[in-house]
Amino acid sequence: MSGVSSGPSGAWHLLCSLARAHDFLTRLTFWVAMIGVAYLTTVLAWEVLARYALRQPSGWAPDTAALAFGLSIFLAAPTLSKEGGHADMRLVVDTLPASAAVWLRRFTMLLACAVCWLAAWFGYNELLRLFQRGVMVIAVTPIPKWWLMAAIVYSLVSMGLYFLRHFLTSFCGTPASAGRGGEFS
Amino acid sequence: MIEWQIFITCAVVLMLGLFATGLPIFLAFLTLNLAGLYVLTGSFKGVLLVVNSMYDTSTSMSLAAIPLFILLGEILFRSSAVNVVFNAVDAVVGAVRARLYIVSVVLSTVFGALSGSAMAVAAMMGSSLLPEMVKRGYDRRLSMGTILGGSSLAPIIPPSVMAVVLGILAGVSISGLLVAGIVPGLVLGVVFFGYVVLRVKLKPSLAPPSTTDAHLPATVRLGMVLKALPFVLIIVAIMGLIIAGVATPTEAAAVGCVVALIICSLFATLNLGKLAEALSSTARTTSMIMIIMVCSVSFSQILNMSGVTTSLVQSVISLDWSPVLMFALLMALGFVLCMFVDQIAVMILLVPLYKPIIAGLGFDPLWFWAIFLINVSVGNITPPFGYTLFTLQGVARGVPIQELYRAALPFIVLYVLMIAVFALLPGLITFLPSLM
Repeated sequence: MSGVSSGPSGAWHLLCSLARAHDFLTRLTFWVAMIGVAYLTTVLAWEVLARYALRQPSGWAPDTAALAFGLSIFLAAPTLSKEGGHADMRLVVDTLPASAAVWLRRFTMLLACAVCWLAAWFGYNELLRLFQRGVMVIAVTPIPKWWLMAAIVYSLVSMGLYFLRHFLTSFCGTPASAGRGGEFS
Repeated sequence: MIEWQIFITCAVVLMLGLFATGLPIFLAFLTLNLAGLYVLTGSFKGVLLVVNSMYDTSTSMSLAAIPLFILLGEILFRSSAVNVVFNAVDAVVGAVRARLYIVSVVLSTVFGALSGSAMAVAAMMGSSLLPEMVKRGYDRRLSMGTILGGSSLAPIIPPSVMAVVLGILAGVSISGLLVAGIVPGLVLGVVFFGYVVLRVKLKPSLAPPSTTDAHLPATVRLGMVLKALPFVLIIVAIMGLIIAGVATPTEAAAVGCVVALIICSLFATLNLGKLAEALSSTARTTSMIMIIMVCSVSFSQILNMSGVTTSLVQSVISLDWSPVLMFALLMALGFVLCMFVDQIAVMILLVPLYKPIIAGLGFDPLWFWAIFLINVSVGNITPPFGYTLFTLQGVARGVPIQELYRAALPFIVLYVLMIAVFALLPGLITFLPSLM
């Protein structure tokens, strides 16, 4: 990134600050995802114990566990996009000449960003509908549906942003780093 | 409405093309679904279907078994429980000529049950046992073959993440599919065991003579086995809860994690730091697998909307081919696709198409999907793109990929032969689930 950062400007500093804030939010939500996994495990084990040993099954355990499961998926996903950790098949790309591989990666990053944001837009509209109408999950423990939908929208927007960052940084770094890293600074 | 043949051909070509560009798999499915909805409805308004499908899939409690099975493996692997099991198996095998080959097969089978991940087993065995085998004069190719063959049992022997994924996609009992994998997994382990013993008997130069350091007093051996017992009992307890109908696979996995937490704190080296690492790794792996699932489940709905499912079933049934030929063709397609495409992606692609076909052909769903699971598990080690091959190449430094291909070949043949045996003797698969 030295080529770009050698001529610092206000816009560049702003971008770097936004990228750092984005990364911080990603780290934060990843911790929430980890807590979600821990909660899912604990509460389901407790449910079995409560059902058979205490003969007092709870109504809330499966419902909140389902929410924790959904949240852990979507809140951890941006970390994968940041680190290039999604499952993909790079074997064809890796056999291409370096310059062709870089342009192909740029194309896929742009496509990825567009697809994520398109889905996020429709998710956002659904989120607004769920929020305004106060739609709840049909379960023993009513939970607002918009909670998880908000995580889905956040995840799609954040992943799209990382793919855009990978695309942009591919013009700054070495060909080998194209599509990986996603760091402005 | 466009012809269904054109629709499905374009869908498959587009999907394989997107995979080839290196686009993350979940985005390849998402792109395909968005494109499919646009073609079918003439606008992107149908994207709402995909978003709602993402919501529903991500809150499926059956799929919640995935992070729990992953966490269980993470806890056992990070707390040195595997070392205890390693020592126990090493002690039990004793002093025979093909000793480390047998240790490799048995360990792969046990670790497969403990972790459920073929790549994790291959990485661990490749970095720990393989160098030792080569150093002691064991044939490198056969050593790698035992690791590749044995690690591919991980998705078959429960607890298995792949069985959960397949159960959800195919709409069959997840408990049934998990339990159905026990006998085939163990039989395959025994077949590999017999194969290495036979190979060494026919060609003794493949293994060095047994050494005296393998002779341990019986009390020492017993002590090592007793130390490993609590860890193996975790898996036995999980399967016991499922078979007895006391808990769902998800609940049994959660109980297993808590029990593993306690046992590994008492008898192994689990601490808070390692637990945090295990949770972090679980969150990553779960998100990686589940984001593919949530983005691809609407693929089957789009196939239904396009009329592909109905037309395909009618066409296949009207062929009036023998069930044996149909079975072989359905399995062969999965096998060939797994040579090039990730197993979960193959399952997502094929299961919605196969489901109505096998219902039309009158196959027992549990029998068919259990064999299909074995079939796609072999995809881990089939050239050219088996993931486990590359994992093992990564840890076994300096081994050309061609040598790994040759190492995997005999075990792939054994898998195919045993698939034929399981197809001919369905009781091997259906007996245990029938007891539930």
